[in-house]
Amino acid sequence: MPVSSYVSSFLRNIFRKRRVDQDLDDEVRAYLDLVIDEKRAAGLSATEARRAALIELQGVEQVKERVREVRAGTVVEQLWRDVAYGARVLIKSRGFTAAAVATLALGIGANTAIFTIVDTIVFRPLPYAEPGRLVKIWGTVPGTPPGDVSWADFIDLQSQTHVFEQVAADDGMGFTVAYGNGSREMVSGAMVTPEWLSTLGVRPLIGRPFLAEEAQRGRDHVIILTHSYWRRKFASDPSVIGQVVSIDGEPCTIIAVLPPNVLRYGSDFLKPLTPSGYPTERGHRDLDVFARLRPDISLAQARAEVETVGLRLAREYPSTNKDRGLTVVPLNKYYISPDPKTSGSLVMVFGAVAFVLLIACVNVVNLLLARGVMRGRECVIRATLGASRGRLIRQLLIENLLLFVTGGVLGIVVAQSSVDSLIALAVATGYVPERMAIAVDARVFAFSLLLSVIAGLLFGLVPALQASRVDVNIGLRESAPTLYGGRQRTRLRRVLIVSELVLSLVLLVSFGLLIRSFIRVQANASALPADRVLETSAEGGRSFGPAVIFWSTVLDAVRGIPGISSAAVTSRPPIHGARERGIVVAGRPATASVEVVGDILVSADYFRTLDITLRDGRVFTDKDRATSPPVAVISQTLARRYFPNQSPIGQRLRVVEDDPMTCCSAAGPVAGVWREIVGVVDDVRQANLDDQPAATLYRPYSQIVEHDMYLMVRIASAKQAPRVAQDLRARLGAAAPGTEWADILPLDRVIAGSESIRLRRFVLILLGSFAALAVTLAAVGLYGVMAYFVAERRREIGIRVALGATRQGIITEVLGEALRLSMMALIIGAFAAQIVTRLLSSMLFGIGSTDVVTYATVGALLTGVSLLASYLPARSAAQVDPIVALREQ
Amino acid sequence: MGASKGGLLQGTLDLLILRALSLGPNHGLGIARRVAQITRGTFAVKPGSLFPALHRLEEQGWLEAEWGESENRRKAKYYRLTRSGRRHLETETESWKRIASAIASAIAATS
Repeated sequence: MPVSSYVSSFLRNIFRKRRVDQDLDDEVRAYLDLVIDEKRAAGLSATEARRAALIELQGVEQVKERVREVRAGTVVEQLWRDVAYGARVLIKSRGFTAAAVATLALGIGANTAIFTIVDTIVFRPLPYAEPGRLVKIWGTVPGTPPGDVSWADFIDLQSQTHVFEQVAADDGMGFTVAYGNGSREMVSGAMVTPEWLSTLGVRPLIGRPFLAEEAQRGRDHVIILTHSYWRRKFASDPSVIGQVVSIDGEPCTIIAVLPPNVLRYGSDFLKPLTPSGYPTERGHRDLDVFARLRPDISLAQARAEVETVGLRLAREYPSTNKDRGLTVVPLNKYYISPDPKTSGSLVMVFGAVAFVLLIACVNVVNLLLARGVMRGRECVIRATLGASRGRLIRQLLIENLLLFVTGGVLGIVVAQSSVDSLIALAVATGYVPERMAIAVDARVFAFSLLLSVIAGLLFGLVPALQASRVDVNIGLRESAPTLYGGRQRTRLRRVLIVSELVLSLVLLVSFGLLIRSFIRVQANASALPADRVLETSAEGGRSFGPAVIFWSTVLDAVRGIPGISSAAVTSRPPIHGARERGIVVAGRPATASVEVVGDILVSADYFRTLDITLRDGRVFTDKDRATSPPVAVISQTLARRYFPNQSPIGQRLRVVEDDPMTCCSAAGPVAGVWREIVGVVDDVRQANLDDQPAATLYRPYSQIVEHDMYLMVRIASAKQAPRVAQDLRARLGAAAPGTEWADILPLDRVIAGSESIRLRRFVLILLGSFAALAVTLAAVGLYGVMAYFVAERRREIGIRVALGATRQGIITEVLGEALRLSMMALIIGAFAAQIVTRLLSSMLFGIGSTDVVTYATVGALLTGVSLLASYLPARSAAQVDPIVALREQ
Repeated sequence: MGASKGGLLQGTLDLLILRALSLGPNHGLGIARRVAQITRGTFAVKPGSLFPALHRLEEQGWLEAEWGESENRRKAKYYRLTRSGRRHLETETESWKRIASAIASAIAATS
């Protein structure tokens, strides 16, 4: 079939419709005339010939209609007409359209908003050039997780491999930053090699990248800010370039700002890494290394070459690299990604909002079904005029689609206005580390439209089918509305309302379980006197002797402040995690993989300051010094694990330290030093409040100290905190002039920012809002169904009232119907919730997924809501005037 | 239009119409009469089938149409085969012959 001919016919049929129709009319009539001529020639009279010809033709209009049916462009033209007609109908029934569109806009808009966030956080590709070509290089030791690389190894990697375009490295550490206005804070920064930006393929948003010569001591007083740090601390001011801030006491110039979403996880700014100011011994491993593959190199090839280099280094430098290797993995989202827990909870939020959409759609379906009564009458007439069932369904479906798509378009507006607040909430609750640039763009549009079209097709089909199912004979004869009600339609609406209630129930149960988990998790924190402990931190120096003197001077100075009942130092307060070290216990067989425990260095008063109870033996005292025997205190979990049947006091253990030690310093060598266990204390959750308490080892700072330590002071009540903080700062300034101290914060503020609380808080707020929205929608839906239920039965109710039924009785019956529906929903919902909450188990804490309290509460709540929603219809049913009702048709 | 129209498939009607026009242009009624004639009365094409078929064939480019005068000085729309229509007719005729002989031999074999 020549395409051009078809296309030109198509266009002609659409744009020259009138002429084509006229032409057709002429043609058929001309045919008619010819037939009449024929018949007359055969001998019939004029009128008989005409009649015979018309019979043979079977009707001019019918013939024309059949031609129109096969014409090119017919379908398009019909669709267009259906759309126009549907739009007119919707505009005419303003109330219905407004209610339906509003419901849909809420449901679809909420989904679009969540999608926008999920899309940015989880799906959007990294803002680097060709991120698939970026890889991470790890150092490996058999039996332990992969770790960092040393400077010397990094240099060798650069020179000995040919598979990479560029190799770069960075090391994150804490810096004390002092701003122009005098305020100070501990900030996380990263020292990076000069090729860092170009390896990632990133250009600064404003300013210039580091120069190679800036990687030298003296020339390295330049920093680059990350986008969020710039927003947070510098108010996105473009004139920040050239400004000077003090980093660890040295003035540094800001030379650039990175584009949004370029993050070195956790770091706020970048500084050049200077080999002369950095530990470059081969044994000192602190570097994160990544690289960009050459275009023609595969991951496997790169891995092979890097592993070879690792083996070579192990051979050449047995003292530092024995048994160590190197390996390569794709970079993926290493530098940005929120951890799996966050993305898992995002999925849950997405699921919750999808439920809300389902409920909204079901409400709209109910509305459509109710309206189907009137449309049914119209469909009967159209069927009589010759419309096929297919045509009817198509027109109704298009009308419903129009409704859903309008809701979808409005939903984008809803999404736009709520995305900003959602992000603000996410940042405020600490759910995302910083404000990510979220854009409502073409992808989001497409999602919203796609969602509304799918929803429209799915949910618009059933009402369309219902309304078009008309038996022409019956339909034209009777006009009683109850005929269009029908038992089938009522059952359908019952099913729909029960499913709405079930969905709400599942949401509410999920919310209930999560909130109870949250309370339990917070209870873990209350074991510590967190609101009565202040913390700050500073660098004590990397040299053992002076560091110990520094800290004991500080402790002495601080103890005298009124309001402080005790003070201590620690390398890691609770919730700050702990360094992991392998230990070997005397008298136990050595295993291939070394057991790893948390290691914390503390002063004598640490346990007293934090109310950590002593269970056995003693805590450290001033007598435990560099010159006295090495000692250790262990936590209960550690005690139970290694000494289940005996007292650990007097037993000995040894810590496997890095050699040389990078974080800490000690009086003498630390390798092979056996420590005597002198005490056992209660467990403290060091990392996350919802983790199991881990085995922890404490060593006295007077025997081994870290270069930066935390100072903890205990005060009598939280109210005193601001005053004490002031005094503390003054005293610290006097006792240790020139030392930069971090902001003094109460410990509960730190805990509130901890991961387990952060994640939960954001999810809880969202989930709670969605559950509330869902219940409201379901209640509205239930109200609608009950109102219709009552309206349908007006005559029957009227009769019964006339026969003596009481108002009370009627109300009870209506409420009873609602109650029946709720009960069914509760039973089904309980099963459904069981299944769904199993998926939640990773976020639950201390609560099983079959928590009776939660289910009972939710059940009662839902029943109450159902009764409330059906009260009004019940009352109006009871007020039916029998005379009026009976007179109605 | 379909298999139920007196056993006549849409494609068959198309073929008959094209065949009827192969000798020269004609108007609708003339085509119907000619089809009846060349099929020896088996197929009497009603206007309800004829007109849709004619218009479809025209849209597909096998036929051209223009207004003209009939024998009795009446206005009528005349249809004529296009060049590609003539080619299409040849192809369809060939394939019809193949099918017909295949079915004929199948019937001969089983009886």
